[in-house]
Amino acid sequence: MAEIPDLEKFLTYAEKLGAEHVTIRFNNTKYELISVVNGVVSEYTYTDMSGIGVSVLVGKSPGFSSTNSLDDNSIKKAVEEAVNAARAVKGKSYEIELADVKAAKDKVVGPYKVCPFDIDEKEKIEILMDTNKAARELDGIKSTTTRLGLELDRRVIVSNDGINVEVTTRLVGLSHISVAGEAGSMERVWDSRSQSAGFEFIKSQNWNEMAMKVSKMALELVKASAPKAGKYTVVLHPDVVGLLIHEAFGHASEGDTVYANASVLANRIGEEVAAREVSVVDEGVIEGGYFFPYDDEGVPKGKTYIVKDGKLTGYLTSRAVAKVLNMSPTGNARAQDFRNQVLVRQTNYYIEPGDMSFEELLEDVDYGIYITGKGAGGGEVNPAAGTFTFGVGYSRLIRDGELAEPVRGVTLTGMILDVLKNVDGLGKSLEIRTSVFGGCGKGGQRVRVGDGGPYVRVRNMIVGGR
Amino acid sequence: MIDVESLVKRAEDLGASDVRITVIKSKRKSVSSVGEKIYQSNVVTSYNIGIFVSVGKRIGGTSATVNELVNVEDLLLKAIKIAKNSPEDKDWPGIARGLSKVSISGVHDKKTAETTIEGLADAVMRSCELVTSYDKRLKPISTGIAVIESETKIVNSYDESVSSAETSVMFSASVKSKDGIKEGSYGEYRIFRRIDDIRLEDLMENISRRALDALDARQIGTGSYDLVFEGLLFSRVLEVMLGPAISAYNVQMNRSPLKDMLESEIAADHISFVERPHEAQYPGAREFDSEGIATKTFHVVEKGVLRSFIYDYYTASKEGRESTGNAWGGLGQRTTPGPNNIVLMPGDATEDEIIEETKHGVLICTSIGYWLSNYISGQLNGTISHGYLIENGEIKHAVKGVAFSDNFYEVLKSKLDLIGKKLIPSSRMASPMVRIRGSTIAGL
Repeated sequence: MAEIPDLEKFLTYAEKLGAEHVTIRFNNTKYELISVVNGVVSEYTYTDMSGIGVSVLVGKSPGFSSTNSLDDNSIKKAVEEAVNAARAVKGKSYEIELADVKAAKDKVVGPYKVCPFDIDEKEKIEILMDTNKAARELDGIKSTTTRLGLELDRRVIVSNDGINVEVTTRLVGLSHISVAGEAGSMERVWDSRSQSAGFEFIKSQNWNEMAMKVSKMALELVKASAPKAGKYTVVLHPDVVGLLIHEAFGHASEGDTVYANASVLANRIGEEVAAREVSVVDEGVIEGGYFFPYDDEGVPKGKTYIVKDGKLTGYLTSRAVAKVLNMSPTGNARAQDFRNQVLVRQTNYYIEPGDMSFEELLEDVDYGIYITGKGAGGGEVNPAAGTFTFGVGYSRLIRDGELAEPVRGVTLTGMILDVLKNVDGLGKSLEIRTSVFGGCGKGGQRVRVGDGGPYVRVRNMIVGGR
Repeated sequence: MIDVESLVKRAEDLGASDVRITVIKSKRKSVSSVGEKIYQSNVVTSYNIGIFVSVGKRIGGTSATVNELVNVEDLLLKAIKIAKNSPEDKDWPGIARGLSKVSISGVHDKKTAETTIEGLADAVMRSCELVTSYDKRLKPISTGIAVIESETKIVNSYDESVSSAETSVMFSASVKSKDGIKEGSYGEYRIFRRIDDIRLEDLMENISRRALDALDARQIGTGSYDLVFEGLLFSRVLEVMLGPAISAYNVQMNRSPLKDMLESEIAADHISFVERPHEAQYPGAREFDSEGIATKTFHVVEKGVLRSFIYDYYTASKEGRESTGNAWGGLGQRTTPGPNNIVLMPGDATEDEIIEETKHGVLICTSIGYWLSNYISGQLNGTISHGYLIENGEIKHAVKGVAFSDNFYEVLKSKLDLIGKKLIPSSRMASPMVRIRGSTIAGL
């Protein structure tokens, strides 16, 4: 590990320049991405980014500055720029105050056995080449792309109110896409698995089997048709439940969006926003999720209920947002990296499980769609308009309570305030996922998240099709 | 400061066959508001390096922030080690040669680069005032303005180098409306070249008017509708659907349906797409691509006929032709081809005429999830976050929360029948308003 500058002395420097509150964040992210396309290594890139971000309040006005130069003069200059930026908006900005927190002093390293950056390049390439080859063994597969992603993220947060926290997280994963073609028609399916872990996770998985399954689904899907557009009962795989709850509800529960009057969940604490059996949680450390014990203000991220037994119980907050909403900080202040100021973001967002089996969820559906999540492309929400959408990939029709033929081109659309009220069945098991290849975007920043839930059945979902 | 030329020589000494080194310095100043007051004022300075090497027909790349924690020679050694441990790509032609640029007047604007935090704060406050003075039922949700100045330099092993300085401006604003129990909102995100290109009064008036219209926004029934896309949204749709489909890399990797379609009709004869990267007012304008190859003006589709894919050095070499100057890629990464500024050539209809000629349709202004559309299958879909129902040539009421879908390649061939006059650019494509006949809406 590289030595980082002594950040504490720059807290004092900021105070001398007039800042009443200062947080300095150091961040170093190492990332390795290897791609194999049709048996050829198309990319192998290693990235090493580090720098500091300085957040200040001067006369309660906010200023932020960032630099990747880490000599004393550059950091001092960054502090000066942050202070000057705050002074430049005085009289036009909010008078920002921060909620009090117990000053944490901690150093945490996320779970891992074998550091992914200690593994020889050849070994990594060999895993990818094998997986990519396995996926190409079926007739009709036109193109295959397999990617390995490895990340090490180290963050140090210090503040002049006593916080000094360091968190190191490793995240590894593999993704695979197969494209099938037949009679002028093409279709793609993808799947991936990631974990907050070391290289031992990569070695523990049967990637060839995953890639073969993806190819088989692509071959099935290229012959499938799109469902007729309209409203359906859908049964969602936990992978898609994660997307649903993150997009359809999670963003609207972010306190900065609520405070900005840009969320349909504003002023609804205590109201019924979901079916009675639905509870929704944001949690920093949970099996399968992204390891996130502290946020980028150094506040511990525990377990936060957003919905309990169908009622809205809270929002996600940073220290500043907690103060204006008169709530407690929930540890959800997050920045993509040192170049960005914190925003309120989700961590691992999920629906708690119920008591039904998968078969029981299907049983009552005369005609509906089972969404597997394989090839799900992500989603988007407009929390102010209250609409959300996501693309879900490989799906199968449900007829008379049983799985039937595959369908493609499925997108789901809904209204935030309706969707969780239409949940009428929750599966027994909880599955959470994260990804080293993507994350959640907001305000131009991307952060790693986890999401999930049990199998879930939802009535009256708008399905875009033919 | 890094001596890039010496580093190139050092790469060769350490065993690289050839190398491309890119350095980018940038400064970003931004101010954003929540409600009617400023919430953030930021200054971000960056200095980054990317190293891309080949060792014979093996490749590797590294990138990093330039600072005391990173030893640039270690970064170089790592790139070489990656390349040495990678299998050969028999088609690898070596690092791009022939670095040059087309000088474009106006891609760097001094006034924009010198804009201060105070200046940005004044503009943000002014936009908030424009909203509240437009109608008392309106309140600003958020406004953000960022100005970015960047300098890029690319040097290769063949004693070639290019450099360029650019500015860009990002503007976003969203507004909430409330009238009794009715609520609505509308927001826009735009990219400009110069700070003076933001016409704040016009932009905020449009956003405010639409936020008021959103008070009456509702879902409409499932069925067949003509879809009228505003130019900004359709240019973003083209980035998702046409951009990857015409990339020579996707064609060569068997994942574009346009493979084997060169010189064939892929669109109706009133449709042409032209790469126009030399007009500074477009955000996608640039003097050279990510490999340092000069950008070019050329037809991609001419009167419905596919004339050319877009190429970087690798894909062009594979077909024994020249790069079209369309390489895109991050620092130290291998590039792939992408649009710089591909324009759907304007037609002769005004926006009012397109609406007047539509009997049963929806004007789509903003969409969420359109980027989930699939260029491989042609599945075009999205959810309307702000639109208007059109009946017999007249706007009836605002629409939201319904999904549209169609097949993009069928749209080009037979369903896109009207093209407006006025080009609106997104980041890498530009389009006028268009009308698509008989698409599906999934709603009530």
